[in-house]
Amino acid sequence: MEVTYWLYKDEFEAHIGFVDKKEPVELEVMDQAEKVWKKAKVLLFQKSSEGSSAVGLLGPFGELGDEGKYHIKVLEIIPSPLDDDE
Amino acid sequence: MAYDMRDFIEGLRNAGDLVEINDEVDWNYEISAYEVLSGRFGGPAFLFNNIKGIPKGSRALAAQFVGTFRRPHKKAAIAMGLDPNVDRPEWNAVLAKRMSMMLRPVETSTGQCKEIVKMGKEVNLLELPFTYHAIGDGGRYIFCSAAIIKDPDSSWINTGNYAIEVFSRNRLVITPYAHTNFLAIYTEKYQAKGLSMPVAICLGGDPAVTMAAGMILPPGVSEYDIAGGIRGTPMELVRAQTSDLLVPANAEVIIEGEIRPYERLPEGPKIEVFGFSVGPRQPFYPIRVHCITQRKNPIIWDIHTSLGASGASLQLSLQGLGFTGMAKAFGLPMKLGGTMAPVRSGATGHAAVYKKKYPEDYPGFMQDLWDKYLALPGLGGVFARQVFVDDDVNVLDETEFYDALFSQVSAAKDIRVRPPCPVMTIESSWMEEWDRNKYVGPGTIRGPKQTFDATTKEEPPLGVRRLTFETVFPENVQEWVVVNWERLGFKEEPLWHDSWLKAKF
Repeated sequence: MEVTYWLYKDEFEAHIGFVDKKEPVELEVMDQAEKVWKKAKVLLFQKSSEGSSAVGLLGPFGELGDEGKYHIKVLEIIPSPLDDDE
Repeated sequence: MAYDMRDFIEGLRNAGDLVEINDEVDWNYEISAYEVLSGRFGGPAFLFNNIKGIPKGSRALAAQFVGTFRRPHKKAAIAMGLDPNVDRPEWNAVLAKRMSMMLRPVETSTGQCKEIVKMGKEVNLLELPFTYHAIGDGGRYIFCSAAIIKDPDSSWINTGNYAIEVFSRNRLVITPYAHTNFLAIYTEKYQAKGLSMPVAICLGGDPAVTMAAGMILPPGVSEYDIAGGIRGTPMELVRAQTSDLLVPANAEVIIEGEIRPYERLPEGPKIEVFGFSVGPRQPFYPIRVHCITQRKNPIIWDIHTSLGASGASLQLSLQGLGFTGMAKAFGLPMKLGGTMAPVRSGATGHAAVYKKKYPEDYPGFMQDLWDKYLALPGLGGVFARQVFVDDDVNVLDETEFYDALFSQVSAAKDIRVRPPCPVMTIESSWMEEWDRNKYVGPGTIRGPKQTFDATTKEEPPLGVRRLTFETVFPENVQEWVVVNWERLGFKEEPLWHDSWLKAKF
């Protein structure tokens, strides 16, 4: 299944208690169109809901799994302090 | 004018080994997919002129080092002005000879790499067509470059080819390996002094620089000198824009930055140059990028690292040559100090090293081989498993190699395990879960080493007689078959084994 974002599996599993809780969590997400990790404030869902996107979970050795099993709604991309310095 | 990557592209074109593609392609998987497919049959290189989402003018070259099993150096030979059909023994012999004639570089006042200069906020790495290689990679990676650094205590300039993740618009994360000079210089010198280390990443320019950067050479040897030797003319260097580093004047792109002491960013997972996935995400060295200088319409060259692709071909073509030089420097009487073959990638821990045929060259030769070879700075870190064979075993032929391994190794006497020491990042795949958080980062991944003595210990009847075409038939019969080979309609070269065994280098 095509997904919009990848999440680190270990990071997602550490926050699995937030699925469907409508409580935002901060996770690193990789937009598949950009292939760069960014920290984001997101809501986690078991099923697709309005404004949400399907995700895949990236394991420690690059194994991709659970594609489309979970969904996230990105509320905010948190600016990286790295972006501001020169 | 000095040879550069654009000359190499013309060389590929003239050899019928280049396909130019003007249709839009995506840096996201597609460029790499072309390379991997080409790698399956020793196919062409590709020049992509139109890359999705990338400012017009920037181009990408891929599969530029893809070779074949017998001739992994096929395109590297074009880069060196040699016949692409030169066989592997001759390739090794010519390169080894050229390497030994090191030439100091010359400094010029400016160069093509300064045609465009972007500083500070103008810097945006994501505008360059760095590719995303494979499902599961933690980001876009640069696998074909020369990372240039300088020893703070001498004039020694070191370059190396590393996996570099494009982390953000102004950050790269570089992953030097446990055995590299980069690691030694940075962690033992700059970081210990509390200093930032200037770094320049060179993309393109004379392929000889990148090829030399991929060799593992002893401390104090500059890859620029080696590149000058293999090119036959000194490299032309120019002062970097933001540091006193000297960089190739005709590079396509120079990325300049610094690594600060103790600063780390997460890197990985990724496919490695050895064709395996390496993880987990680990803290490595971030390069704060301050400046990008480049040619107009720059060409970014890329290599994919799966089986048969450019990364594997480049390793097979070049990396053993650095070991050869080191082994010879230690006075070991070897025809070839080390080679990746027949196992595709030596860096996963396999090496084959020649010893002269039975008996030993001198009493204690094998012990010297264990002690000196394993103690060499590069090899000490890079190989977790090493196999020593006689010099009449053609290590390019897997059948012969495994025949030696299975017939000459006594499980009781000829396998040695050495205590853990720094090993390649690939070994992280074998870590126990509980070790992963302790042993991460270059130089901290530790593993035991195994050596296999697959050399002949006893002559027949006690020893095992090796049965090959050359040993089981009378010479006149061998000659008759070979002479009639083509007349009988066979196209394969029956004597490639012979040329390997007779090669002197």
